Amino acid sequence: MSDRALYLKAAEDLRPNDKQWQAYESGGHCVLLAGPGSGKTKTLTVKLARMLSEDVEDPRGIACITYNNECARELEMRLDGLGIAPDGRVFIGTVHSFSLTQILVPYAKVAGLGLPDDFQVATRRQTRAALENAHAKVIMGPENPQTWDFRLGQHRRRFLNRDVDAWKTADPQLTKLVEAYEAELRQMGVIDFDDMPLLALRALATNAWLRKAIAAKYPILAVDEYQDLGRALHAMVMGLCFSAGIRLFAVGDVDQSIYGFTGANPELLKKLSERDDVETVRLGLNYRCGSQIVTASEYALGEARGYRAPDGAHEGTIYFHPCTGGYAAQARYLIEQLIPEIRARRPDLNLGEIAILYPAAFIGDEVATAAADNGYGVIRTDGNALYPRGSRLMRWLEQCAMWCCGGWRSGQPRVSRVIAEGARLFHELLATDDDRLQFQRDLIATLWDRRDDTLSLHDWLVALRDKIIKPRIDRARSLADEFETLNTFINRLGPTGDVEDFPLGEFAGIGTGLDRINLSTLHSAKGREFDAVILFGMEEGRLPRNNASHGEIREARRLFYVGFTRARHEIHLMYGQHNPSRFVTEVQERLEGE
Amino acid sequence: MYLSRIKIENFRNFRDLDVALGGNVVIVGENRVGKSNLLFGLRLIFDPSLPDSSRQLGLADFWDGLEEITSETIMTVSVEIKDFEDDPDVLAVLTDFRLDDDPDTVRLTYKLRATPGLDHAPASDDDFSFICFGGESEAKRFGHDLRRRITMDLLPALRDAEGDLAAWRRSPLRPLVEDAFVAVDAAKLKEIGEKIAETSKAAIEFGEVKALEGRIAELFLAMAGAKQDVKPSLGFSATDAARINRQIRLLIDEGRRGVADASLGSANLIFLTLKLLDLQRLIETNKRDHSLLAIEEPEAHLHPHLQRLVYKHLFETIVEGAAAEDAETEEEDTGADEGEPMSVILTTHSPHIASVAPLESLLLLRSDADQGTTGYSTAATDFTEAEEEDLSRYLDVTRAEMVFARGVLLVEGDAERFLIPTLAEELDISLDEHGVSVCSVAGTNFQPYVKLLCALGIPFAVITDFDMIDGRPRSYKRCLKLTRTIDTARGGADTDGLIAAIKAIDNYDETYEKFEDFGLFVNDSTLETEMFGGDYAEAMIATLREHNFSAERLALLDAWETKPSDVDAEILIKMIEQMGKGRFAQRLASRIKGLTVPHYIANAINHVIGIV
Repeated sequence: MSDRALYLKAAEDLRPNDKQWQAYESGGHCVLLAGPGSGKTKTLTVKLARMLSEDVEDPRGIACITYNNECARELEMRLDGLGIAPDGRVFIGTVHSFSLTQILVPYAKVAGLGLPDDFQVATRRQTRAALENAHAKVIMGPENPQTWDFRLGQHRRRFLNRDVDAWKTADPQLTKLVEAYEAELRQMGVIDFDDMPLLALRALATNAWLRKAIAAKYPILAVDEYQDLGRALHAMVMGLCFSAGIRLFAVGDVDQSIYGFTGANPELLKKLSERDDVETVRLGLNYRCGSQIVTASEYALGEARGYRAPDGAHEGTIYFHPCTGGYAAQARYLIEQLIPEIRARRPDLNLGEIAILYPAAFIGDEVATAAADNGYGVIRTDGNALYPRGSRLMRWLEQCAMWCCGGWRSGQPRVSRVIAEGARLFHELLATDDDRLQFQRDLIATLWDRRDDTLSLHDWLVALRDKIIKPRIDRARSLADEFETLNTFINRLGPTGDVEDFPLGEFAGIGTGLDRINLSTLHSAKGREFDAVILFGMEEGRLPRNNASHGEIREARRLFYVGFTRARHEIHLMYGQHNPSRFVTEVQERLEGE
Repeated sequence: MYLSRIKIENFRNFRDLDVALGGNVVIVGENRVGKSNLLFGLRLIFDPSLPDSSRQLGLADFWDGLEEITSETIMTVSVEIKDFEDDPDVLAVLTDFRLDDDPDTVRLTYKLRATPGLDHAPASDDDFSFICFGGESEAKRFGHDLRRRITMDLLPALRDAEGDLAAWRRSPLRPLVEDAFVAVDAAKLKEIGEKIAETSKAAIEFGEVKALEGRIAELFLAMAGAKQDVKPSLGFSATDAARINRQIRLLIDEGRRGVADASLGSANLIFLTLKLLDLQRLIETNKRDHSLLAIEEPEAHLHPHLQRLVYKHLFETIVEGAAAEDAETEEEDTGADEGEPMSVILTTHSPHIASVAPLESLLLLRSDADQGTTGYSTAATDFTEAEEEDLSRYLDVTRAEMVFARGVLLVEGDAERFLIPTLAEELDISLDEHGVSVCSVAGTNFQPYVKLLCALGIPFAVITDFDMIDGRPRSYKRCLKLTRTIDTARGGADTDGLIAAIKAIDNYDETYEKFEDFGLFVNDSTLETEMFGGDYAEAMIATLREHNFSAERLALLDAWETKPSDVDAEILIKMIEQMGKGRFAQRLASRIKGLTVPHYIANAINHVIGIV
């Protein structure tokens, strides 16, 4: 299934970097500590290709767990380029989809998890209702039950093992709420997002045969973005890799751990890398950022890591923009002054190579308004986006739109890929070859009749929903929420919605990522890179927030560092002139002190 | 891994077959009982060479006894597998298919039912569709991906071994030769090819041969015309390096003859040898993880001794040996015992093969008019190690015959074995016609045989001696123990209570009458004394006179002849033993016409005839 020539050729690119090569040659547990721009995804994918070809034989395979669907897609595309098509031997996905598809769906009953028959994944509406009911039973009172959501999640993730006394004693009320909430979900025949890794972990912990089975299927476990994957995954890794005999290849960067609020903890990766039975490789070069930016990034982080740009790399520039006025005024300055300046300096730059990153979604609204007023297209990746960028269904629909808007002629994207991705989305429903064939026929027929980039997106989406998605969605455990996302978006585009309908071509354009400025929160910029990056709203009270704890300040700093290191050539720091973030000030002072 | 159970519903001969298996399976049963259909059922699940169009069964494949086939009628063939965790490859393939309430068992199911959504009762084959799924959820489909790793190969009964060996494409030799040639230096092959071409050319260069070649070419041209001319010439077969291996043939008799000249038996044996080598190769090179090798009637064309030799070797060395070897090589890196990578499934009518089959592998199919074919297997029977050894040792060919019998009379020794068929004839009963075999257990340890017969559901009776020793009948305990075994096997609700009730009976007559309900028939002393005391004194004395006894002993015979009640049982038995119990019985058999059959033997015979 793999074409050895492709990865052997790609491996030659790793050879000059002795650290990348060391990771490529590793034979046992390996932790790859990889700073920004260090070529970690390339090292990871080439290593994966090699392990699949040389270390693991059919029918056994490799599971590769990564942070989100976006990252999974990226890995898939890269592996595809190395001649490795997704099939039964390779799992690529999030902790949640690993838990769901590899453990809960096949083994829920036999592992004794007590889940309802044919359990489904809860939609947001269902989780809200469950919390409401649980709140009414346990907490009572007039407050909005949803304010408990965050604490509820934290409490569940804190106690991976509920057999300890602390589960009953640490916060009895919260524990009761959790138990009531989960009982509500089960009564509806559903599990929620947090349930997936927690239940999977419980199944693994209580069933030795299950650990053995996972080890048989996946003798190698690769984990990307380890620092952000949380304690449940860490506990799984400990059990599977250090007692059930799975070989671990973990990649991550403690400095880029920014998801503390979902339970991530950089210490877990650090501890892992310090184990005696693990070969730890630290990548030292930053191929992405200009040399100035690499230097300044250590000031941004406030830690000396010894990263450097390769010899002969461009320098890159750091710009400071103390501003006056509120966010609206700053946004206008950004769009009307800064962007034209950047484009004047770099005339060949596609707008898709520019990113504006900010600490919170509402700040993005101001930037989006200013951009729209000036006729710029944008792609938003934050909580206020048109639709969540992480939605696999929406991303697939973008692909379909691209195919309708000229893709059918140019082969970009290839129709086989559009079909294959769709088939994987709906895999639970396409049990037989006939089902798959029918899906393919329906899809092609529907898309073929709608090859027109001037079509109303609303109508196009409705057609795809009714002809392709709706007839199949009922039995898909993992897609209920995605379907809700689609419906919400369609309603927003509809006659009574808050978003004006736009042509299909526009939607396809979002899919290509070209000619549109990227608007994103710092968090959502994780793992991405752009030629020019504007960090917007870098102010005290935003980054870090007011009254932040010591740990939160440290995480805010890592977040700043993540944003800082997304830039190849230009990094712009924008802030109110009287209120710069302490991280900005430190960078500025240290640069001036050089 | 091993197959631990097979369950078939509504398929051909089977209404509801559900039997435990012990890995290897040796299927016995009368003709037309469904042995081949059972194999076909397994192929539906495991055979990758069976196209899906053949998996698409229809109306004619449902059990004949069905009154009506509705949209609710379902045909299933399912197998359960255990011990699948030893080999990680097998585990990876099977793990998703565990039973909901038992993680240590995997189930694979073939199911044929009316196509879902059909709006009328199924009327033609097209109205049915099949699915193959694992575990207990139809959503867990499996297909070629599984069959490629866990594969069944069937060697059918009337195979044309000779033809298959001769045709390169079908020959089991082909993959072996191709594999062997992979590593051979291509340049050297080319050189050899050239040499062959050169030498063979010389053979064609003889004037006479050349002339023949010319005549062929000329006539062909004349008949077909220049446009259709294929330009025929004479030569040996193709000699280019890539095809040289195809010229390799298996030769016999030290290279003097080809396989075409081998006897049918040898050809079959050669075929089996090559097939086994190929299966080993596939597993060694990780092309597959487990082979289920099914052979129909492996006894065909084989001399009895060869049957035993070949299949003893197959079971003991190849199947078990492969596992041991695997474990050895794997131990260093994983420390894992990979389990047997091969299971053998045979259908046979040969006691020779049954006699060498592992005890737990026997599966007896029996046809029951209303119920379709039912199955009985030894796999689930709890033999003690000693019993297993006993049975394996004693299941020689004559005793293995009981597996093929419709009913069995278990007796202590050769004397009974020789006499009873003749005694039965006195009762106007031909045991052969009823398919009843008389089997000697060579002693009084009936226990393992009774267990075996109970497991296989074969009706039987036990004929044993009273054996009064020191005032207590040895047979009492023996029968009590057998009763317990039989009642347990019958699924008795309260075996302990039953035994207690029998023990509470205070006289032997009544007790032994009770034992007869369980097919245990006992005399009042031993066979010989019982007969002497009955009608047989004269015939026995005449028989003993055939032997060269001392004058003293002959005088005794004379005395007993005049007054049979004077007989000294101990001396009588000694004399019979001196003559040989078996020979004595054989000789006696010719003298018993018209004599009264001892009642306990008559009862036993009637008992068995009544239930077969």
